[in-house]
Amino acid sequence: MSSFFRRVRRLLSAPEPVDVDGLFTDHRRRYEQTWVIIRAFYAMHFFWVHRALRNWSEWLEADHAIPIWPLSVFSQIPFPQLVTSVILLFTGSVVLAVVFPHRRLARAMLCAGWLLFGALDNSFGKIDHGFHAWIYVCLVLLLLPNQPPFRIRRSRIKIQEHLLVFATARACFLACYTISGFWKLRQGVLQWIDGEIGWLHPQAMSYLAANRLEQTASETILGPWVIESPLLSGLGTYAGLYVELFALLIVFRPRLLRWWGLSLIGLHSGAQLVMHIPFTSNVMLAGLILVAAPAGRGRASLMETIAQLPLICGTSRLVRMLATRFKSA
Amino acid sequence: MVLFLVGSSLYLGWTKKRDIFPLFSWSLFTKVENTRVDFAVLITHLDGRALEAPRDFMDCRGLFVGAGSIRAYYTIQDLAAAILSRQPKRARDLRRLFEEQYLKGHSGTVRYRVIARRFDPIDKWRTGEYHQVAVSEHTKRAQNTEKKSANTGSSEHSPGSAP
Repeated sequence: MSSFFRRVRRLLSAPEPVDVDGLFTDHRRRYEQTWVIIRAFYAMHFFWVHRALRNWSEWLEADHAIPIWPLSVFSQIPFPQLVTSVILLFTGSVVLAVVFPHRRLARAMLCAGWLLFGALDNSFGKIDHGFHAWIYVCLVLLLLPNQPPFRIRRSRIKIQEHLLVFATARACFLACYTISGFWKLRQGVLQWIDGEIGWLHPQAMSYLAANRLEQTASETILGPWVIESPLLSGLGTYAGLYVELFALLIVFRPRLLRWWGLSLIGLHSGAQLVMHIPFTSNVMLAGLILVAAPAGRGRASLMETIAQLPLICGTSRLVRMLATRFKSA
Repeated sequence: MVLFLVGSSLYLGWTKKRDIFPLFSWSLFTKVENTRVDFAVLITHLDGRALEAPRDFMDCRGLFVGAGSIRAYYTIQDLAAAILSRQPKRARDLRRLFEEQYLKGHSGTVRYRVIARRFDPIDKWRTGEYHQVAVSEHTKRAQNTEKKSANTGSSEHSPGSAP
């Protein structure tokens, strides 16, 4: 099984020069950097605590909520008491995770706090998806070694384990985009077969923007431009689809991680300016675990980075392979 | 974990379940609706007085706190679906949620109509025109709410809309 995964990884990675000099020193450096990122990740939870505190009084008065799982399990408790308990539990679990990020119990408490707080926030008629990626990352970080940093620094295996868990957290975050891109591509093909405007049509973004602006009766800065201009609409449609669809592949091409982080932030900023859809939570997460976190080893020129882009890399590989076969024939 | 996440999302997407919190199909803005069919709320009376022309609830930003909120929009969709599928308990819960969470901000009596509408999004964005069919009508009083009448299936057109 592991050889199968190794082969898959090799297939999805871009060709990189093998450089074993200073590999373990580099791992150690990356461990230190990712540990800071993880601590920052937990500290950023105070932003959500602040949001919970802001909504507290409003939620106390809301006796009309329809609690979703796992909050629905406690439906026999009066809603105001449930609200207070969840907010206190979430705040407490954030404090614990920030103070003891190396303790698995503290991280597990935060996961439980997130599930309850997320359910509470989404118990008012519609489930939003801003918290999902944060919850996934928290769940993956549960797998970090249950040891303080000074012990982990002494062990190469523990450092590797730590880096692998961090890469998995990134993969889970990016997988959400790839799945989203997959559904868009599938539906785009189905709508194209039916002769409708779908994700393969350059006007898709015009329709999506008009739909959204009509849903919420809102106005945006770039919305009218995208609705009226096929060029802008086409650019938004295809760029969005490309960035989403190949997001998971980037885990295997560390040089592109920062670029992809910035692209995803650009995607959400565009969605905000065109359709009034804020995805602040994912922008924060992309900035932290993709843009700010360590990426590939060494420096690469712009052309080398572009050569690793999905589709470009695959095409150049195919051309090289065909050329080699042609020569040998 | 990545495989579990991908697998669960594909399962939820294929079975059209969409959400089992915190799992999600991640099917977001997947279908480009060339013709949209949805539900809306029109405010017909304020403080016992009929408005000159019914106003789309989402457009009443100065009057109601939930106007323009996407959560309010989805609550309206669920409410209308519950009314049409004759689920009185769910409809009652959702109406209470809508009125107390989103239709607040105006202290007087509010009468509103739930409608089903059909439109081309770009045409509606340009001209504001759409076809509509009334689903039900309700009144929200200052303290308690009372359902006034329900007329499912009666058809009418918005002012200036094409038939």
